[in-house]
Amino acid sequence: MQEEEIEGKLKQDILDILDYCINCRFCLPSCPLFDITTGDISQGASGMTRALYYAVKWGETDKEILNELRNILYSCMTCRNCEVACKDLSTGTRLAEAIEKGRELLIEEMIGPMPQQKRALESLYLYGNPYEVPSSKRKAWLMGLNVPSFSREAEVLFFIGCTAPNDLDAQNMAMALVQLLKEAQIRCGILEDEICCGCPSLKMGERGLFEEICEKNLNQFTSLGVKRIVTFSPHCFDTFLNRYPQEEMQGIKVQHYSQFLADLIEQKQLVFKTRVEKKVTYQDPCYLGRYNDVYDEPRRVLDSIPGLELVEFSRARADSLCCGGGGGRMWADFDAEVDRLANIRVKEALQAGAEIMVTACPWCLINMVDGVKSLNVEDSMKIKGLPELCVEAL
Amino acid sequence: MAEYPEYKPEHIYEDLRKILPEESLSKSLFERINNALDPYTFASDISQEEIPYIVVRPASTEQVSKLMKYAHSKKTPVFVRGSGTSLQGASRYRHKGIVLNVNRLNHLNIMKDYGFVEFGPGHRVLYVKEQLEKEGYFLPLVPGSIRVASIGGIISNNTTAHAVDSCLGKPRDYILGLEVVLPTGEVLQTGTRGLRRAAGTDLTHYFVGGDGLLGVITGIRMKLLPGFKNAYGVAFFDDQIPLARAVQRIYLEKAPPPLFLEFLDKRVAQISFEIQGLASPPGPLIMFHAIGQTEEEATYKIDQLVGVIQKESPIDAKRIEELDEWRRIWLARESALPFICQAAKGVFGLSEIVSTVPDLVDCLKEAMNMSKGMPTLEKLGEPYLFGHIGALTFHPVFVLPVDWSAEEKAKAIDEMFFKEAEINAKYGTCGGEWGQFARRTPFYLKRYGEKAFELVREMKKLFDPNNILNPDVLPDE
Repeated sequence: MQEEEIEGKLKQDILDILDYCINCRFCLPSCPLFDITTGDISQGASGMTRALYYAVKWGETDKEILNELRNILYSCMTCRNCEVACKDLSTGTRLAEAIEKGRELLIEEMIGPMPQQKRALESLYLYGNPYEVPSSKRKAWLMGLNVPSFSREAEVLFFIGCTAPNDLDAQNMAMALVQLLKEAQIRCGILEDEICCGCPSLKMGERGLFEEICEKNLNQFTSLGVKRIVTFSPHCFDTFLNRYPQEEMQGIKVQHYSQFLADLIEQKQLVFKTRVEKKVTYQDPCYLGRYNDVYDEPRRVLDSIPGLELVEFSRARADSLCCGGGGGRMWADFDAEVDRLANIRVKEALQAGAEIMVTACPWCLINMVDGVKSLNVEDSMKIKGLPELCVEAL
Repeated sequence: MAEYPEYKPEHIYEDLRKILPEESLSKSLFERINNALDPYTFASDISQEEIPYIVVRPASTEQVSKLMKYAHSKKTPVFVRGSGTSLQGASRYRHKGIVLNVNRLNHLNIMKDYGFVEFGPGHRVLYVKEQLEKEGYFLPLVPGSIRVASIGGIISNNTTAHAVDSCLGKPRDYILGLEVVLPTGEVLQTGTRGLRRAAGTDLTHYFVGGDGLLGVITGIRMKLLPGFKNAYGVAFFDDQIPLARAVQRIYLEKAPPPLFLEFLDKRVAQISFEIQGLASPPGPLIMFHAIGQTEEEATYKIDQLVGVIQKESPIDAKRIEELDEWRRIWLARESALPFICQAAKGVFGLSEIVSTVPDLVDCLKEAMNMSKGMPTLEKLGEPYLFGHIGALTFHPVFVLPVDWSAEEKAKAIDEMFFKEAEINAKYGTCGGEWGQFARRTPFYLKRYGEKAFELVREMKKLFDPNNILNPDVLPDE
């Protein structure tokens, strides 16, 4: 498609999606961003999408105004809380999808992404990851995991994703997961030259780059005969499951590791023998829960740990609060915010009476660890990845 | 439409920043657009020429007063806005001017010793409800939009929403006093700090249910009500006629009035029950919720209601023992409208038909036949029907296909409000939920006559000589 055609189609798609919105604003109280900004309607859910709607409808070309729109659209964490509210209470408008398309449009018009996000996209293009980690360094870390390279003998491709090689807390979580897979005697392999799944580019609106990455990964999967992928990150999980071409993913089963662990526990391939006498709360990652309805499996894993008491957040499952890291926000800061979602969530975990907050997403982990530090509650609240807690229970 | 001098937005901004804090002013294009929209946009979409000059979010009565004095001196319209959820245009921005968003007017003091609560208009209703419930009190405001609607709008509208009036009364019955900024900028205190409300003239009542025409409410003082115990019931019928007769019986046989008594027609009941994983109901149904000081009292009331309802031979009528069952049934009611829209791939047009007790059966039939003779509505067929039948209210719903043009949707909405006015005028009733003016002015004229309308207009002039506060909610003609 020509550039103009692409833009025209994006604009029409945006208007078509947003024609369902009736400005009832039932989504606003559900929008975490609206909660942590100063009360501007355009800083929340349908306020953002109405901004997009009128910018498209009126053919806005003023660069200053489009930059304002960019700041609005890119602040969304794409957590889909708004879509849940709209489905339950109103017309079922796909607000987060419209925002994603709005970002694509801004990229086409050379307005997006946010200035800080450009480096992440450049890094994706150059190194295959958004963290500016050279391929050689990433490969060295991956090899240090002592997991064999994927071959046709392997049952499972363990897709680690970009975050673990770049963050110490996420590394510990990934290493714990490897230990669990070994404990269960799973024949798994990794890709030595693993590159990103493409999620960050997709969420920042850089669809062309996503398609390139997608093609590279699909070629690898095909040539290696991959039949089953277990992802470390919920974001990779969602991307492979829902955003890669269905026809080319046929025959490949995609699971998040929390689902895989739940299966292993059910089949008695993984048994926890050590008691963990702790009150634990579980942070539902948006891309596992609201995007893919994976709520029960991580809880089943936790339930199988002897001695552990699961205490739920007052808002859990589909109502869960985002950590603030989705939608490309790991690479951008926004001035309008007066609080951090992770801080709010840590306080909620303390209110729930938890000693440990467990999550199954590396981005949630990073944000929550920061939240605990910034609130100075390291003595009363620990943040752990689900695999780390499981390892303690072996 | 009223006419006003035109100003440049930047001049208004420069003037206002001299008298108001910077953080209370927003000149962002998108914020101005968002503050000018309400749920019936498709009936009268905003144009680029109409965008508000500025959005002002004052944090105190004093700031509101300064703004109103300024606007009065400049003869510039001011549109007061909470969450903007009005379904008939009461919160709609409709003339080039300033939007006064009340969401920073959000004080909340529960004065247990005095027996009242004081709060600002900017809170969402649900928030105030939750705060009161934590202290063991009940908020007598129950809009369907409770999650998002702002409490100032509910008070300005005096809406009973879901509740049965004969059980709960109107919000006005609980308001002890107000702080109000007049369109000319003066600040009024009305009512009392005592629990005994004023006899005789009390200006509180001009503003509660005043459709936002006479002043800007900046503080509300409301009686504290102790929390209740609850009991629940449900009744399924073969047909809607005996169902309506059962409701008539509740009134005629002096059964205890329930807090809520909701109705779903067969189509709506089946769609919404299926979504909630409940067994598909065989026909239309009513669900009811009674309150009492004790569980025994609430249960007694439900049993009385079930006894009366059974005289109309329902398929089943029973008290609900399990709270979870009630929650699911209530959720089915709450989710009825969204799921109808989603199933029919459209956006809703909702009206409010109110009956008298003796006319309930006939009124129900007329609501079902609402599209007849209306060229645009007829394309949509019979409306989906549900509503607060305990308050003798029906909400016929038309789902307007999303791909209809804005003009066609507007025609449908116009026809719907025309028919609503015709039926309510016929039965001598009026809407109890959405205010009297804005889109409903033709009904007001028809129902109460030219003289009544003229008196309202004269009163508006008295309070607001330059007609700057929410102008055109009360049209010129």
